[in-house]
Amino acid sequence: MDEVITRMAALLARVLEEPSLAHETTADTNLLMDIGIDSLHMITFLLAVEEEFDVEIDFESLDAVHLESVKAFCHFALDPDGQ
Amino acid sequence: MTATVHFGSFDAEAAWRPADLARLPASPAVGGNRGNRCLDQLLAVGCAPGDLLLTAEPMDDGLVEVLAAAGIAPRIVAVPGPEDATVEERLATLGDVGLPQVRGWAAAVYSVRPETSAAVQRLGLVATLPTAEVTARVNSKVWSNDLVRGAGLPGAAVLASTPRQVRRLVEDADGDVVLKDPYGVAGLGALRVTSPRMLDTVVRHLERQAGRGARVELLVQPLFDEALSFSTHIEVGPGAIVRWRGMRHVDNAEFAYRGSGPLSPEQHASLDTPAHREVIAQVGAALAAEGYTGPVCVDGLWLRDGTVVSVLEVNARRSMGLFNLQLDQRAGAVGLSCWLRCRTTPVVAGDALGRLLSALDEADLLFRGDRPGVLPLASGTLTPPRGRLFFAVFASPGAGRAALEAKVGDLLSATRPIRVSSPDS
Repeated sequence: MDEVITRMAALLARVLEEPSLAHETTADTNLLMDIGIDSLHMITFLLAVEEEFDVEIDFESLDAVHLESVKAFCHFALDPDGQ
Repeated sequence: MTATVHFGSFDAEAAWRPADLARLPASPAVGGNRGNRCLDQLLAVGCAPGDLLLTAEPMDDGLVEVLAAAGIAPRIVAVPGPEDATVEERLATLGDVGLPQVRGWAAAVYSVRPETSAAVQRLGLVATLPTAEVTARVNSKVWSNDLVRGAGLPGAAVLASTPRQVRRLVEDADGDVVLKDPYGVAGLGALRVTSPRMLDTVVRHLERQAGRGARVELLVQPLFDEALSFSTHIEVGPGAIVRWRGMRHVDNAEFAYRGSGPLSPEQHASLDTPAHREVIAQVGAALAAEGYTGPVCVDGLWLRDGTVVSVLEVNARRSMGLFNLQLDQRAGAVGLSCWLRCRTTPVVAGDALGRLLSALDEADLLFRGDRPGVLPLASGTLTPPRGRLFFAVFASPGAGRAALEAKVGDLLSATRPIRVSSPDS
């Protein structure tokens, strides 16, 4: 999981153009409240996640609860059946 | 002279968009809707003293004082009603309960939504408004694209009405393309397709919705090699009279709005040509023929190969560029120019605007109506965790604007309490 979080953090840093996020982001970081990702950045991030991890995200099922932590988002995006 | 009542929520495109249209992939609403609800406070810039501005939420008292000191001094009143209802819905339902009596006053609305006419009637205002149906039709990018195609103008897109068409048009294009929702606005509803993987995602998403009966209506447009974005502003009056209001430089980051300002003299000379004015007159005539009256912003592009795309999109409503023109009139009266800026910034809970206003005041940077300075324009858009600061920069043409804007950024950072992350974007 640590490696996945690291890759997610790197993607967030790239999409938001805030290099510090690559090392500040943890499994518990809230994408909305801590990072403050907005709608425009969010869609770019989601598409980048699909490419990086070779997964298909179910956009219509994505809910704010999945953004409460990087860990929760990883479960939603990478392991939807395991939730 | 009759005073005017100004009002209107800024999410008009959501009201105009047919419910059965398939959507591009999007994220869930983040950060809540309060910031968007409070955009209507920007209407203050078009108000004369003695006018009434009706808003969704109260404007911060400190900002009311600061605006008044700069000569922007309407009476500002929040409309009572449910938080999730638009100002138009509240007025259409409750009328003038709890509001000043304004029967017989003129109305100036941000846009015409389905409830706008009822709101105007309930308040007893005087206005010549187009129907919401006409306004919705002419605000669709499909309408403006048909106009561009019909007139043989550069910059036309192709309409795709099935996921398969979307795939074919994107795959056949030379280079990246942009997919546009007919009612997308400010970057939401526009997607640059940069890879086959991304195209697969979009098509998969559209196919799922089409399978449930949704209509696909997307404009497929080449990603233009843009040298400069600009907007042209007109007013379509009764009797198909089209009044020219001016042109603005537009600053975008990807598709997100970042600001408007004056064109340089060289840019103005190259873009404000008889040919461009003729095209814009055609747009005005076409809008009038549809039955539209009111303000219009026509977005355009100047490409690196020299092509001028006079009509990229038509926004038949008030617009940021129009607000900038209105502010520029105030600036011009004291020999200055005005730039309208939108800055996205991390926001920590608390009185973010109050801290900023104090800091600007202490640094003697607030615009007071006579010499260079800056002026925050809305209080409710600076919402946690990530808000938007709309502000005007008043400076001498060609001097001092960048420094003033940078100082706003510095003060935003300096007045923000320490938080988990992060530097300004």
